[in-house]
This record gives sequence, structure tokens and C-alpha cells, in this order.
Amino acid sequence: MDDDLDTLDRFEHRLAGIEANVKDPPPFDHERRTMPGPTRKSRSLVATVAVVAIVVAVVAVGSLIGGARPTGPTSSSSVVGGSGTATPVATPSPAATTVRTVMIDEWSARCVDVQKVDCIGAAGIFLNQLGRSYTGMFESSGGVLTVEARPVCPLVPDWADGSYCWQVSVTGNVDPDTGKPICIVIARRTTDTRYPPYGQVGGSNLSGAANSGGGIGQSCS
Amino acid sequence: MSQDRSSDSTQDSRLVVPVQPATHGHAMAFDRVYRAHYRDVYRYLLGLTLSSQDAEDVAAETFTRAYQAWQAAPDPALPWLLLTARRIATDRWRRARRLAKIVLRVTPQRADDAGERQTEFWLWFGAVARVLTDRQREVLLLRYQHDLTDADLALIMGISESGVRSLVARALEVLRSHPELL
Repeated sequence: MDDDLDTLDRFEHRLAGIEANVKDPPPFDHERRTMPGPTRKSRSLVATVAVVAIVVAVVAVGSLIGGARPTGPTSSSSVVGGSGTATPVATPSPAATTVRTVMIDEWSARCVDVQKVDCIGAAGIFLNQLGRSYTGMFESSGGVLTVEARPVCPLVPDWADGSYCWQVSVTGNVDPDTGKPICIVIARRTTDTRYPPYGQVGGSNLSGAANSGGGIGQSCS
Repeated sequence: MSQDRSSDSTQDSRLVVPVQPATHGHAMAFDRVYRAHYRDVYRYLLGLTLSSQDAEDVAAETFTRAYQAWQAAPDPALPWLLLTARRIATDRWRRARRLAKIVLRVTPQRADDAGERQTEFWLWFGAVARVLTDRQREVLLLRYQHDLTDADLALIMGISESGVRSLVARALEVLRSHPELL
């Protein structure tokens, strides 16, 4: 019993450090019967993943029903397992540039010659990688990102399909490592279904963490 | 915590659920509880979700709901507020996990907030979270709120009072086996 009390005391002594992280109450708006919560820009990434998941599902179903002609390889059956070597495949350019805009959470993604489902998947990975840069980058870019087809991939790791990639970029931000605009390269994942169907294989190291992408940390193009 | 009710049904945005308008007395009573317990609710959520953004979101929703249901709020209000916060946090987490798992085939991780992970406290608390189960961590967080009784903890966590005591005992036993955390 004394042991328990002593342990609890010592634990609570250290837990008291949480007080520095506990925020004071913001003013409560009685007129609106609510309080100013976090801005949409600071919404948690879990929520972003959920939103992206919904949109991907809806678009995927829509594509199947509508039989939309893909721009890029979303229904790719040619899974070229990345084995650490680049497997570039020339993909015919579309006759005309197709630009569509999709909203992902509060971000606006410009999809240039990219099928919507791939655009959302690639943009979702980009937003997920932003982590602590999410709010800052949203503000400096005006919340606009661009997803473009990138038929020739960089060297991709084993889990990626190196036959086709996409490139996601934002304006208003410079990668400190390359001095070029922030940009990442995305490929379809061919293995390990525990992860999203897309993953980063090149470009800026947004998460700041050591990563498995073959070209991460290198210039985007 | 009594208040008058009238029939105003103003609804000015999707964030606001139409409710009976508050009287001045109602607002004063709510304000007192809000100021007294916001930090308690926020602290609990921060320890539960390990994310200041989630804690802020859920605390906002908790007090918005509390305001709307004020006539039904028991006294003392803290256990009820914490129970409401717990339900909202659990619902959000389950919903996000289910959607992500089904569609993206990924299990989302709890959000890691900017800067927080780098402080000594969060490094310690992260280590605690790795050795204790979620419920063990939660019961110690609640125990930290000295105004709460075992019965309050049982109500909030949906277990018996003896369940609370054994959960605390087990959590302390685990901590003792990790002296570096004490």
C-alpha cells in the first residue's frame, strides 16, 4: 500500500509537467452557443486521413460506374514491382491537358492530366506527410497544391510500382535541402496492404524523418 | 443549475445545433463551470489523445454539448463533462480508424503535434504510454484529478469501482517495474 502511494506520488509529480501543455479556456460564445475551436487549418491529420478516405472511395466508385477514361494508370494491372531499380515506362501524353480541381479537406488540389482517384490519393499522401508544417504550408501556398503526372519515376524502393508516378507540389515554399519549390514524387504501392495504396518515392523530405523512399531528399525533377 | 427555457430556434451555421436559449442565470452558471473545469477536461483529453489539436477539438465539442444540455447536467459537473469528452473522443477515433482501415487500408496513428514531442515531458509521457495500456494510462490521469472519487472514475470509464482499484494497482505495478519512469 505504501509502495502504491509512493509510486503514485512519484508518477503524479512527473505528470504535473502536463500543466505546461494545458490550455486556458478560450471565451465561450453564448450567442452562437459554441466556442471557437481550432481553425480548419489545424484539423488533426487523423481527420484528414478520414476525409481523404471518403473522397477516394466515392471517386473510385464513381469512376467504376461512370466508366471514366483514366488519365494515367489508376486501373493499372501492370504491376512492376520496384526492386530498387528504375523501371521507366513511357506513357502516351494526353492529346490535351486536362485540369480538374478537387477539394481535400480545406486544400484545393489541381489535378493536371491525372485521374481524380490518383490525384486524391497522391495529394492525400502529401498532406499526410506535412505533419507539423501543415498549417504553415497551407497559409503560404494559399491552400493550393498541384498534382501532375510523372510517367518516368526516379529509383523506387521495393514496395513501389516504378512504372508510373505522380508529382505533388505547392508554391510559396522552398525545400531547404534543394533550394527548389517543395515537391514530392508519389508511386503506387504494390506490397504491404497495411499502408495506403500510394507512397512517397522521391522529392522533398516533408516529414523530416528518415524514410524508405529511394529518391527522398533529392530534387523532385 | 436550473434555467428557463424559451422557444428560440436560431440556427446560424452548421456548427451550431439549435437549442433553447440561455438565460442570464444559465449563462453565469455555465461560465463558472466552464472556467473551473475547462483545463480539467483539456488535460484529460490531452493525456487520452496525446494531441493538443484533438484535445482542443473535443473539449470544444464537449462544452458545446454541455451548454446545450445544461438543464440535464448533474452537480458536480466534472465527471459528467469527462464522460462526455471520453465518448466524443472515442467516437471520433473509432470513426477515423474504421474509415481509414476500410478505404485506405491503413491504421491511423494518434496525431503527433508540432513541438510537443520534443519536450522532456512528452518524451516521458510517450514512454509511459508505451508501457501502460490505454486504460491504465487513463485511470492514472483521472486519479490525478484529486476531486474525483473511485465512483466517478468508474462512471467515466464504464467499469466497477473495484475494477478502477485493480486497474490502478496494475498500472502502478507496471510503473514500478520501470523505475526510469518514476
